[in-house]
Amino acid sequence: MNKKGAEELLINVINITLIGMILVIFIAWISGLATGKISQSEVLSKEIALLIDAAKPETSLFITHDSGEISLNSATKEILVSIGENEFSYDYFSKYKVSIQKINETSSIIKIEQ
Amino acid sequence: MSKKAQITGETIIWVYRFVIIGLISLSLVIIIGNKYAEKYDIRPAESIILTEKIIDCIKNSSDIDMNFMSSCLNLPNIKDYYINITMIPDSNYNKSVIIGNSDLKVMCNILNSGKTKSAKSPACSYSDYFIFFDNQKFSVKLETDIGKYEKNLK
Repeated sequence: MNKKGAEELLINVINITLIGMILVIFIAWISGLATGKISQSEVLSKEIALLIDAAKPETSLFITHDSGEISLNSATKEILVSIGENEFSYDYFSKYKVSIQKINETSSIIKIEQ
Repeated sequence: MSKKAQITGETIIWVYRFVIIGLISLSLVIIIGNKYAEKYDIRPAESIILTEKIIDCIKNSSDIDMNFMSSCLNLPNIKDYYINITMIPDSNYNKSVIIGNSDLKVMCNILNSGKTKSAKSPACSYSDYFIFFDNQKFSVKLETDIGKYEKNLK
């Protein structure tokens, strides 16, 4: 291979590598968005907040989730869900006493009492 | 073609390629990001639950006023809500209790008039109920408007 041919090959390789890298980043980013990994914490916290709001006293809610942690701030009436780096909190308006009990890494019990 | 001209030409082509790739990437990020940045709006569901809570409060009291409703509902951030309860019995007497942020009602009125559209609009809900109390039939008109823009809208 002559010098010019080698240079053109190198340019093409750099081009393809660059486009390939961008494509991989895009696919990873879109996959994260489409599978809902980023919005999982948002959906979970909102679902739990709605369940707490709708629940009558002396109700126990058994929550199971794939990953992350659920915590509750009864002072501000907020439910906080952390999944990896994503955190989302949502406030509930139930007037009853709400408490959370962690069973294991993937499940918790939320109790609504008078 | 001289060596210098060849290098200059190649540099221009490289810059051109980078600009094209950059523009395509940026437009894809904006389009896809904008689509997925939308949050789940649960305010209509919240509004239904809140309406049920209000009816429960009304059913359990002989007389309703602002203080009673505020303590009965015990809403955490009152500025995110606007509640208007109007009780109309068969007689000419009627009673209205308003709690919360009245700016939300103004926004709902503007949106309902169709004169404007806003990216940050409250969830406006209107409902009518009949309640029997002390052998008297009350017509209850409820308006529950919920703000909570940051958590429900992009």
